[in-house]
Amino acid sequence: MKHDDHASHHVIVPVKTYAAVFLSLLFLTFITVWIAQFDFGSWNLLVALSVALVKATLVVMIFMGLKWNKSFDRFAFFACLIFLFIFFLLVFVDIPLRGYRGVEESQQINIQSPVKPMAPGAENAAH
Amino acid sequence: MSMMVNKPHHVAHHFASESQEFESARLGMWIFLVQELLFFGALFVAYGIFRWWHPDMFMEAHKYLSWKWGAFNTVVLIASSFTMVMAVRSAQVNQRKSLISYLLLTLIFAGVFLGVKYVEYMEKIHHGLLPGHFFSAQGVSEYLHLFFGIYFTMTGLHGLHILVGMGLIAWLLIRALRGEFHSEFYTPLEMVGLYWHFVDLVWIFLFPLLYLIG
Repeated sequence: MKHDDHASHHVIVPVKTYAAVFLSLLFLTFITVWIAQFDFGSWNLLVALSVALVKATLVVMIFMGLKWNKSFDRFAFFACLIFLFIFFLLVFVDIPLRGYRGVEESQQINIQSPVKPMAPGAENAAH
Repeated sequence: MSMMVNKPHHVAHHFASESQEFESARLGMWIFLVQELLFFGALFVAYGIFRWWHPDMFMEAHKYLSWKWGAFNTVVLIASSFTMVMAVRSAQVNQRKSLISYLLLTLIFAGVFLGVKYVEYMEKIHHGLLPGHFFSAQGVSEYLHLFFGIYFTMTGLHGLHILVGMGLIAWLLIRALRGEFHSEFYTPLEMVGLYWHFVDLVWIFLFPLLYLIG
């Protein structure tokens, strides 16, 4: 009985699978860096996040074993993703529609920015 | 020495079987990680709001970070995730020597990651690129200090997770040397492994969002 019991949740993943995921992650990291030099305008963020999302899927499914783990853990994880999505969706729909209404801090409560002013374009020379 | 002897594992009395014990531990770990995900999620939301308000400031700020260090650390963390799964696998197939080697490698990679982080932090501190009113550098945008608040909070909390992970891996290493992990019992390895991949996961998003804004 003990051994049947044992086999039910202990999946031994082939080394090949882990190595393939490892190499894919390295390749996708290269893609992340390579793709960042192209300017897609407002799509930049979306492109970077898409590659990160593919990497994250590989890590969660293979390294964290959610592909083989059919227990309640899987439900907990995907339920969390749904709530995370609701969180992101509501905030990132709300913020752009609202616009920036922050009254300049210095005018309202007399807080000064600690940033010492620098002429635009000078930051490239300084660094 | 006792190197060759596997120490048998005794199922805690409140569990019906070894299988139930393993699955309970794993569920607990996933619930914890799901909480971590929501917790880091809130920080990513803060990042998103400030980036929406000050896109030019984010463009300016990321020039102060070295994408080369960031990319290097990404590779290091991915490698450490690989050695971690290989460590768990070694226990599953009763290869104690490779289990110990893989754990040691994971620990070294984690140390390298923190070493690089130390170099990066020192450089920021040196230039006065610090959060909030600690900021003392020049900038085109008067909001530049906000970016470094976000940068230090997110990478700082992530670094803290690495530090905790290193402690846990060291603990696993000691137990592995005692022969406590083998094909019949490797629950702590699997749980720390899950935690370690989660830490890798957070960095996968932090790297492009902080270093590669363009």
